[in-house]
Amino acid sequence: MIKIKDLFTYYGESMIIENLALDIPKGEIVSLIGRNGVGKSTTLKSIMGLVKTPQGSIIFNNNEIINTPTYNRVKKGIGYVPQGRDIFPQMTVEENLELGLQPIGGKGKIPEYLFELFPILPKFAKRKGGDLSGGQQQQLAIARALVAEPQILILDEPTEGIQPSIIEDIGVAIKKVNEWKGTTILLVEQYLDFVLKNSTIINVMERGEIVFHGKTKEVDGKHIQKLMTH
Amino acid sequence: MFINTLFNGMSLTSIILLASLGLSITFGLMRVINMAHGEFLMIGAYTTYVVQMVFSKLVPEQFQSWYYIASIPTAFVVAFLFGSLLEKVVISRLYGREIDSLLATFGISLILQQLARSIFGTQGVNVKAPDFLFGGITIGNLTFSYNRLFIIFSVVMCIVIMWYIMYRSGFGKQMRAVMQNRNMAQCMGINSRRVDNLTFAIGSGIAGIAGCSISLLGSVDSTVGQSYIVYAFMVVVLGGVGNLKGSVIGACIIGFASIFAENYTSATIAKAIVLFIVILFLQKRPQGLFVVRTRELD
Repeated sequence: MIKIKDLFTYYGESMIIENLALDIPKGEIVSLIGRNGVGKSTTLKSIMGLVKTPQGSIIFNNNEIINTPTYNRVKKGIGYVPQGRDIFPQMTVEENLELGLQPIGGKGKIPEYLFELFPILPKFAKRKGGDLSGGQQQQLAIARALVAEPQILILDEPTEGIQPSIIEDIGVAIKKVNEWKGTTILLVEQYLDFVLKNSTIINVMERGEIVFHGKTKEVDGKHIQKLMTH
Repeated sequence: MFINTLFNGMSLTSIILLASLGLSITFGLMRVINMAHGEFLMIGAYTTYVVQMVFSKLVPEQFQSWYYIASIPTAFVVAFLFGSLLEKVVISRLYGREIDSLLATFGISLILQQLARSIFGTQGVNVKAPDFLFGGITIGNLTFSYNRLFIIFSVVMCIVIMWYIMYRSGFGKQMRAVMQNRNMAQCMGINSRRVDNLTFAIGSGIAGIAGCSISLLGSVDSTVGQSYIVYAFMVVVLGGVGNLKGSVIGACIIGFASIFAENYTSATIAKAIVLFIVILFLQKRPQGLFVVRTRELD
């Protein structure tokens, strides 16, 4: 679904990602883990076109998108939930969800299954997004990214600062979306247990490069832990 | 006396509000300090004059008063197009560079003023109020002139239209999304460059309507917008940037304070008093009357 080749990403003069190669196969839940500052979020921002990528290739569904503006990447079928959620705080839950229809022209209906996945959303439909708790905001952000039924959903640390019961719910929701809709998931995380439980392919990142790649059911959690603390 | 002062305060408030509505969205949404905003008022005022001239030449006499009704959308469209062009050619290259955009728009302001002087001359031109705005309503010994009542009505209409655009239309939703989080708005499939351009153009168009209104109050020259620009910036800063409600209340405070202070002192002292009130207020509340509040992350 997404193939990244020879990707270099810079913040100003600093090179954050060096010669990255990453393959995200269709229908899988692919995780990208690693310590703080190794370039995980920057990889996701590169896919979204939110940072400058002067060199390399990002192929989505056999089309090069490295020079495609962010909004067009979204229209092509990439949904994104950034670190920190970034819901629109002054808009209601309903308005936030309606914005999810923008990639398909702002028209249509919010898929009913999202209310089944996140029952808190219809309950708080008229409440401002900024007034929700962190866990509720995270659920809203995921639902909003799913409204347009993207082919791939990209999640940046969805468990960050969230209480354990909601982390559980988010894990269940990710798996259900993957199962029900066939949506490919790319997940950046630091919470290893969550990754081992919910992803099908695991990638460990170190200093802007992938240093380990394997199927989750075949990997040894302790080995991954060791790589992350190395 | 009090009622009369109140009416004059309402009248000044509405003019200031019209001048600041456009600035409120361009400054609030795009953080562009547009020093040429006053010149969009001027463009609106001169457009009204041109429409009046065209009507006097081409339209039968009994319909000539209608020039003013025709000039309102025309002023909006002309200022809108100028705004769109300015945003595309200059402003879009200066996002995030506030001082540069301030200097560039100041330069554009001078160019537009000179352009107006070259086309219309250095002497002011007069827009004749249409027949239906002559006179006024007399209650007791007080007269409320029709043209000032019309300006108040125009402001109410502009606020209703802007409220509809911002809070009820699809474009308004895109505009508010870009205002609250530009990157995330793009990640929702919104072309923020297009939204920027249209927003700037709408803000300029509303300034054009304001120009159309102020053309009724006196002669129109190249500096007509300058008289209102300081008030407009004060309203936006006082009300909290990008907030329609804040702009309305900010304009009320400045408009009524000006008129009441002027009534008991002089015009110069009244200006100093208003400025003092604004400075004092911003010392206590630098973010303005209304701000975006969000719940902290849990």
